[in-house]
Amino acid sequence: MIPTFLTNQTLKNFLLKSNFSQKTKEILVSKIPEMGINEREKLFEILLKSYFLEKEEKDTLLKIKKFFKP
Amino acid sequence: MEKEPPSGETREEVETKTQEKEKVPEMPWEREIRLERKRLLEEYGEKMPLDEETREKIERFLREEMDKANIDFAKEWFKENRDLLASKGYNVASKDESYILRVANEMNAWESLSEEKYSDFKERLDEVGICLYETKRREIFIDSAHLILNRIYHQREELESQLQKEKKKPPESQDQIKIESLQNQIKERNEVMEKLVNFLSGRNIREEAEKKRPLESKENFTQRRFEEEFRSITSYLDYLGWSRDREKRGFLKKVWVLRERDSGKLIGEFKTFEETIDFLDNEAKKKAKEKVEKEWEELKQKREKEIQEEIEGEIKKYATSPEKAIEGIKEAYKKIRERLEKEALKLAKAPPEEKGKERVETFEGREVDIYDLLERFSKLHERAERLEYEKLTQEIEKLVGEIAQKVFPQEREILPEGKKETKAEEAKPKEVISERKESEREKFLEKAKKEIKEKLEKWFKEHLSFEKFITLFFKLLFLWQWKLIAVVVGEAGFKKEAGEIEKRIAKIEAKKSPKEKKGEE
Repeated sequence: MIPTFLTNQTLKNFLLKSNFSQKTKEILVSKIPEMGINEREKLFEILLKSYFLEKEEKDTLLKIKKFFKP
Repeated sequence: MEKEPPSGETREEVETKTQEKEKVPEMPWEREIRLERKRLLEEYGEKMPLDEETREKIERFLREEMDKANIDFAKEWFKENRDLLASKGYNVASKDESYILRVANEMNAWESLSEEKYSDFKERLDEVGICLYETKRREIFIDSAHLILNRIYHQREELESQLQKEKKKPPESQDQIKIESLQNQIKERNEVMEKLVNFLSGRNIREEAEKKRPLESKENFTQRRFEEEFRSITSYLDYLGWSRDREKRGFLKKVWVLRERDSGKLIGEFKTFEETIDFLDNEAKKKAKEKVEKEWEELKQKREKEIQEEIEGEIKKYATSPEKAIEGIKEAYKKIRERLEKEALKLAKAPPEEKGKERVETFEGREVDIYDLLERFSKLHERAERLEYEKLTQEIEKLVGEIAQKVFPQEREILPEGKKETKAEEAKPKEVISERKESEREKFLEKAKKEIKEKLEKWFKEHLSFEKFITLFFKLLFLWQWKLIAVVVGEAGFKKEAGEIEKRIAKIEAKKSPKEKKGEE
């Protein structure tokens, strides 16, 4: 019994949309069904961080394009 | 003459107030800067540690740029608000920068930075402000390092142009103090830029350039060239010869011998080359010494010039190429992502937690598209500043309503299959439990939605960073989901599981910072 955020499907979907390497995605997808609550929470947190990172990178690159004077 | 400010205060009082304001300038962007905007990069990213001297210099350079941006904004604001200022008795014809700044401060001009027409100024101040903030923390991230380098490079170009302009003047009109000051400022910037490029390139560009141009020690060079000079020049030195008599004096002992060139007759034997040379004509020695020393200086200067050119080339490459900056930033983020991936893979390698068949089954269930949720949060967050507060709260309410319905599971879905018929449930009439639970669930959802909405409003109002906002949002949702599950599990008679869930709730709540807890109170 776990929150909706930690179900197999939610985590798998979240993982597949992340920008992790294909190999990492494949390994993790196969392991999700075996994961316990703590591992799932940790994975969710890491995927969230990865999303933030992706966003931060996009913002940073935009910022550089905007403010960097050639 | 400037008019007295219309507030009824004396000029001294106003000036004291202005000075106080200048000491602690309260500008909208500053609040944002204080936020932990790059929490993730702090945890995973590489940073450039700054020694005190470099930090102080960068801070000074940025502060100068910020002062310039502030005065540019104040002038623009002053120009655009002439009517308002004239009606309040200010001298709108003034060109005095300190007066314009003071008026802008008194009129809280910086609050207008949030207006669309001043967005360029706001962004400019934000960016310098963020770089300044990182500098104050004694370490800088790669993007700020690129931006700082870019800024300092253009500052130096401006100083170079001023220097050349001054040097072009006739010697009698040149301001030597100004020239020296400009040269010092350029030198300082060059030193800082070299350090920044070392960090960004992961190399030591000076050491590399020096290694490419090995330099003989001054002692060796002088001696070698001296020998060459006295072996080849002028006729009266033709008889000079020298050799090492190692067989006679021992392998490592160097003996200098002076012979007549034609007869080979021994003139003298000396311990050092200098002693041998002492026999020669003083004028010739002096000339040779001067020549060799000049050569040494020229060689050293030529080498230093080449090194400087190479360093300058590297600095230019990093300071003026957005492509180089983008490439470096992408590489840095790639490294951070790899660290995150490693953390995730550790989870895959960890031994599986102890679990029964029924617990595994509960991992199947409804799916929430987290990415879609995040994108919606992101869009709302981006629009938050531009929306009227009322409109923002409406949008938050709508989003929270949708999310609550999507995320909080129905009771039938969270009750374990085949476990509904427990003693605890059998003891009570089913319809009563169902009604009570339904009512509790409705109450809970309403309460949860209200609290989430209040939190979101508060967070947006305070301009929380996107990362912090999302993290807190999910923490909140997790917490309430667990609370809901605990209620239902408890009702269904799973006392042990309910106890475990309570522990988990306590764990999540304990993770909250005192600030958050205070906010909730």
